[in-house]
Amino acid sequence: MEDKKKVTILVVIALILAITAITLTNINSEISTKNPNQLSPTGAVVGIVIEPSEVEDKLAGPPQ
Amino acid sequence: MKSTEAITYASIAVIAISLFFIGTELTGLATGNDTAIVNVTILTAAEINFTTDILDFGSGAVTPGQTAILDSEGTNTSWSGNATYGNLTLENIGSVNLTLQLKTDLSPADFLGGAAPTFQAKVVNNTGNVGACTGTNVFTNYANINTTMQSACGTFFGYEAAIDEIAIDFSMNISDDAEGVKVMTITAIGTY
Repeated sequence: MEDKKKVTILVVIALILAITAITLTNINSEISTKNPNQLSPTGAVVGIVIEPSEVEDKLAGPPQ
Repeated sequence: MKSTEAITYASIAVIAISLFFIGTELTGLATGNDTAIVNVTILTAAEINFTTDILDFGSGAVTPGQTAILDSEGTNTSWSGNATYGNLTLENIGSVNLTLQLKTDLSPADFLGGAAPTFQAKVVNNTGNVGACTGTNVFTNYANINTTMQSACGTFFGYEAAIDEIAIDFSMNISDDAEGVKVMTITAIGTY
């Protein structure tokens, strides 16, 4: 009976350590897809206002 | 072999393997005379900043039947608006050399609209910053810039005060059927 108790304790310890090892291994195995040495992008703006072009009046005759 | 013995050996094996993966270190108490080390770690800081972050080409109309050609160095062919002189200025404000890539958030068609628009960039060392940008530079002369990152300073974009600024000029072709308020974002990404 005493032996069974010791074995049970040993099995519990083994399970706890195994679960801990698996968890830690999984956490460390996550590979980032981002270059760690790449800076955050910085931005600037270019703007322009395009007004409608004048429409050529091809029907208009020569000035009188 | 009894089943309890098998379980015991298996458990010991699992414990050993688990400790191997978790990692174990021996610890101890240091005694007697000892030396100490003062350790200073100077971290590098990497950062870039647009010191001029707006380039406004103003407003105007394209001459009917023509394609307007504008750039930020004063060219305003077939354009009723004023010539534009200026650029975007990008500075390496960190303490480490970088490589630099540029892209836009819109294609020329999405930015300008109309028939066959073009939008190009040119990257040069800013005045007094000779050698700021070295290596592969797609934008040595005016070249198409788009939504894909392209190399501007492939070897390094310097951080030292005398070589830490570049100027980015822009050129565009606008057809006479384009109109509206147009805004585009230029994105710079540094890597060290």
